[in-house]
Amino acid sequence: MDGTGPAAAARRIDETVYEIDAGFRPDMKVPARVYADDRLWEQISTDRSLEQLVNVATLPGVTQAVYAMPDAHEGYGFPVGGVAAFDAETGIISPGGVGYDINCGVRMLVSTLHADDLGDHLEPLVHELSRGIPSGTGRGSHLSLTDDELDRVFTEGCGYLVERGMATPEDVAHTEAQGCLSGAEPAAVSQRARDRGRGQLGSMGSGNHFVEVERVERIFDENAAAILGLEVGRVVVLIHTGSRGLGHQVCTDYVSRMDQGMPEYGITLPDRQLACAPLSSEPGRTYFGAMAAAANYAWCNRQVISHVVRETFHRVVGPHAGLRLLYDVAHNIAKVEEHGGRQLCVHRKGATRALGPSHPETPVAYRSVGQPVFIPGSMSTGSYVLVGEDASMERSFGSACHGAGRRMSRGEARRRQTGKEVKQALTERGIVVRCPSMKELAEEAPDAYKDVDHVVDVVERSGLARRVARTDVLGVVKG
Amino acid sequence: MKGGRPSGHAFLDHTSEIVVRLHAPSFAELVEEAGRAFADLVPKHLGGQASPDVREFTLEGRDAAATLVNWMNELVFLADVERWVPCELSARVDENTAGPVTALGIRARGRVLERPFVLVKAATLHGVELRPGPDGIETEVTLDV
Repeated sequence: MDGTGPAAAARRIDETVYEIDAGFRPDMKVPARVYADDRLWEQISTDRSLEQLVNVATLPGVTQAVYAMPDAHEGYGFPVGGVAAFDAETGIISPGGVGYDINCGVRMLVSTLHADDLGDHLEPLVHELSRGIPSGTGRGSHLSLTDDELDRVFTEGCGYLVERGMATPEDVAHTEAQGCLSGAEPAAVSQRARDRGRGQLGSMGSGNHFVEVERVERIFDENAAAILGLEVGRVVVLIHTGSRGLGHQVCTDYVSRMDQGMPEYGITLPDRQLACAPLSSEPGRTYFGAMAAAANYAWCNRQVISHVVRETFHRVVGPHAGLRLLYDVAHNIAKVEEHGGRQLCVHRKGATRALGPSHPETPVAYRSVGQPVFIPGSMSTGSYVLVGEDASMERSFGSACHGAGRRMSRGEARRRQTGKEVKQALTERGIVVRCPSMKELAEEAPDAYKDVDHVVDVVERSGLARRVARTDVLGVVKG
Repeated sequence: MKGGRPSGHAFLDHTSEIVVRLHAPSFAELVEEAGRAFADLVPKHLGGQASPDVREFTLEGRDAAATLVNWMNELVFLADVERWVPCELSARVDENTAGPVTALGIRARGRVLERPFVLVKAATLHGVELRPGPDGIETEVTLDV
């Protein structure tokens, strides 16, 4: 480790907080804080996460501190697991700070079934899900949209799918921002982005995206679990995907545009991928409009997949197999929020909003416990359901982590295990796996991720969110 | 190839993305190599047949690094929407641009895949610096996957 780097400059200020002082580099405007214990710090401080977090702390209008969540790892521009807030009047918005997969996120559906009810249905159920949900390298959607329909997706979000019979009002109520971020501007979305997104609504994509059939394995908070409708043995479905090619192209378009415009704003960047513009400027406002449109497309994407999952459960298991949406939350997004009486543009790049019980945007049904937060582990380790804490508003702008976090490169994962070996190990544990590519299955091997139990323990000890339930995996459809 | 050590590429480890290292005797050859590196990422099971058609591209960026990234993003778009990936490439730099602005003309033959290739979301500007190497120019481009 470099003795003059950010890791050497960090000091531990709490059991689970490390801080790099704002004086570490002359261009830093606020300190950088990392939520980690010794073990996670060891992992976070060995790649370029800290350098990237420090770079974010130099951006104009950044306020309070920049944060890395316990699952943080190296990204490009922002670290993955990074949270930063910028004054809405004087600060910037950065497309790279949101990422290419705008509103990549996770939702959980809770079924009417217990695991015992699945019986012999599990294998055909996972198989049919893999057939019904386009996934992996090169599979698009069954649903193709006209320009007018795309515009309605952009501006109405999940509300449009209620009209199309693919969503219910309860689905909308249990989606972050009711599945429709205001401020979407269809005209700000390029023709190229439309071309990429037109035929991909209702598709999963590739990489770490998935649809998992899971079973609640353990309850940590009986009261909160009862309010969320979770009990041991309950079958749930976790869906992880985002805005597909449409969001990727929106980010590409605006990173390029803002990179060209940097001299105009007199902003000097330590990394060109942090290209940005004042939120109040024409490019800043236009990007926000395009990003909101892509975010609404992503919520619709997860909703269309949910519709297919519901139909598949009915067809394979029976009409008694109902699925209600527990919650849907984004983890790549920028939103204008009020914090401490100020309007801030909060960037969450690989980080999940985690509102406490008293926040007005916490859905009515969950106001006694807090907003549900999902932290997926890996294909074999299961996932966690948590709820947000009011204290997280001051600690992290109301944010928690979005997963276990990768600890191993894709290449290293492939060198350690073949896809066939990964599949065999999962099968031996009774987990049904469908993946279009053995190479990608190897890259997503459980060992490639940090220990989710440990990451979640640090999340809870940091006061970012508290545990409600843990699930284990029954079946996986990989992207 | 226009003399010197042949152009080449390698994929480097990154915690979550793909980093491609490129080297070539000249910037035009570096651009050609970037196309070959992108094609190397396409899984064999996507199939596809070579097309005799020649496609022509003109690209510009505020400097050479941005132009290279713009080219790779052009390839990402074409692979996603048209299932097209390059096979044979010929690039030339337009010498009539002002200052650091870099413009390219590229002619390419390609193949059309049986299904679109969507592994790569985008090419990023993260850390892209063109620097002199022992055999010309070298750089790394981080691809979001």
